[in-house]
Amino acid sequence: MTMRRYYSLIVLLFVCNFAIAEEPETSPNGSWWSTLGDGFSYRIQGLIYGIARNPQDSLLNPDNALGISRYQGTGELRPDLGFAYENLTLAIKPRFNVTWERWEDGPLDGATDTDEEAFINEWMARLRLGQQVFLSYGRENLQWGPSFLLSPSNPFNPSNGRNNPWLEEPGLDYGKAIWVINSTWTTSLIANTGEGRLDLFEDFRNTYATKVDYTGDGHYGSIILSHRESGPTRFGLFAGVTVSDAVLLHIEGSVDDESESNLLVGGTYTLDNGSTLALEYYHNSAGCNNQEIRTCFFPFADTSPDLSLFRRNYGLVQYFNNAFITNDLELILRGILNFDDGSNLLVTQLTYELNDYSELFTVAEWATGAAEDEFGALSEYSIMGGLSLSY
Amino acid sequence: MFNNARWHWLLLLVITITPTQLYATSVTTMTSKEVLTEADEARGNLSGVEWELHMQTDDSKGEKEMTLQVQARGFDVATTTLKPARSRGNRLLMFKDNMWFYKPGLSKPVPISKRQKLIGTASYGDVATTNYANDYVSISLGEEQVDGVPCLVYDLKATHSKATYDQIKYWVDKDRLVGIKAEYFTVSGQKFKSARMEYDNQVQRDGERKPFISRIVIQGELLKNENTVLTFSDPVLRHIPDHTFNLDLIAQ
Repeated sequence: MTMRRYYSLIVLLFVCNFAIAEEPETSPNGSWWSTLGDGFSYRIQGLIYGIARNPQDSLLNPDNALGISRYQGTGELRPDLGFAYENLTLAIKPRFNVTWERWEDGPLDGATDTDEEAFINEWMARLRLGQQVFLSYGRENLQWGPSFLLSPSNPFNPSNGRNNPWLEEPGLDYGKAIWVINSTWTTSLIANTGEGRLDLFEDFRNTYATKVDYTGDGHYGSIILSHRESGPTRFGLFAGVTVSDAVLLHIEGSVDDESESNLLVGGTYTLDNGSTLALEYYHNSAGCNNQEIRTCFFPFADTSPDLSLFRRNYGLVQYFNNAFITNDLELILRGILNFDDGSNLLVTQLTYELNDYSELFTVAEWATGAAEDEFGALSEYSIMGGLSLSY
Repeated sequence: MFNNARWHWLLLLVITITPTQLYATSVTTMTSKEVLTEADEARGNLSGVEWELHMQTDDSKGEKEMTLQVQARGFDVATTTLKPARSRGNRLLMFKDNMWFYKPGLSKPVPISKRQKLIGTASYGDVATTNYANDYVSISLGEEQVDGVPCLVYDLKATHSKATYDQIKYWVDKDRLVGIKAEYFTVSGQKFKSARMEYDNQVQRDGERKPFISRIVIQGELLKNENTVLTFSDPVLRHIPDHTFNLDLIAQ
């Protein structure tokens, strides 16, 4: 039996087993039409931002062969639309972007370009059967786990986009069946059927996963068994514990049947003033420890590097304060330390709330490494600043 | 033995005294834990309740407002930010002493601690329903009046490190069995904030209308001008299913 047929059978069993357990929900007061109207929800965000960066002339990007622009100006319209009626939930997140870029390095020196793009980053149709089973299909940015640096237990996309929260992570195509067994246990069957908006180094192959979640008093944990077609079978896990009102600890990792493994351990401490410090260490046995970062990539390497971090050993230090100087200013300082080549990436995120609808934001990244190191091979710094409007 | 006038006086005495005596007996025979359990239930410790929570802070770092829709069951809470528009859809999940925060646009829910500040002097733990009856060991400090209201006073010490506060001095209205004043202390015994609670809402519980939390004013003690007001409105009792608190379903 193929994995696809196996999952189809299990989903069918889910449906048959729990459709009969349907409990009618109390109908809200009001007419059918007003009930329908109440089901609509929306959140519309408009972003205008500029980015300045300095592409490095390195062995990984000789004479800016990757075509990294020096300046960029972007306008984005991000409507999030939802509709819920009885057991059905629909959601769609179309995106409309206009981007202007100017190059001052390499063959494109002096060139400018404007590009318009319209696409659907995420959409989802979800059906609830009874109070326990949820079936869904759509394109979504599926993330889990407590880690800040990346999510090594996630077999679909370990990158969590935390370095720059203003840039959206791409949605991938998933079919899911979630069974909320009780308040302690949940199990999910997940089929990743398309790469969606994600750019991959290699050809996309379907991945299937079974995820079991446990939630106890002050602790939680999940295990994930996954298989990629014509690829490895992988066992992943994450867990966390609330040590006190201020201290949280977590662990996350995975191992596959080709003996490649990764592990992340970390914790957070919240100070009396509410600001929070986070520390993490990450080890990836499949990471590249070659001297030059260029040789970690094809054709010099025969394995595909991790999608977000390429070396073996990393540390993360993060400081977060959502009322820095004033109640309207949020600060995140983030340092990613590469223990293998000694390069570091320092990130400062500032968000200032102008009023109920608008925020000013800036994200500054500074790579301390040399041209042959991971953090420094493409760009020494980048500064992003912009305005967000929400309605 | 008794003439008519004496019977009338005796009857009047019985009518006047009996309800008070019976009530006094019921309160005085209650254990501290039973009193605290009653007081907890007026703060949302129910099988399922939904309400809207408006939060307003005014301190040395400026003013800020926020409105949340809150779903609570027992000591588990799920909130969705309604206002301001820039924060709409932010979600907070407090489930079995685990807390998670999700922001649309951020890629995933992140674990947070009870001590992290939600707004002004209010921590995330302040939005949660109280569990003083089980999270704290209580010592009765006798009775005091707060603004003319007779109160039972308790010194509460946390029984485990996951409780939001290490030590609390708690005043419970003797008649209504609701907590109306609290002072919060650090491990070293320093008072760092205090709160006054009002119960103008009502819910149907155990077959009768009972008072329910309507307003909490939190005052910072270190900086006297720190002031956060939590206003609870429109409480509605309804069954909250398990999936409301499921992390896999929190992201929309």
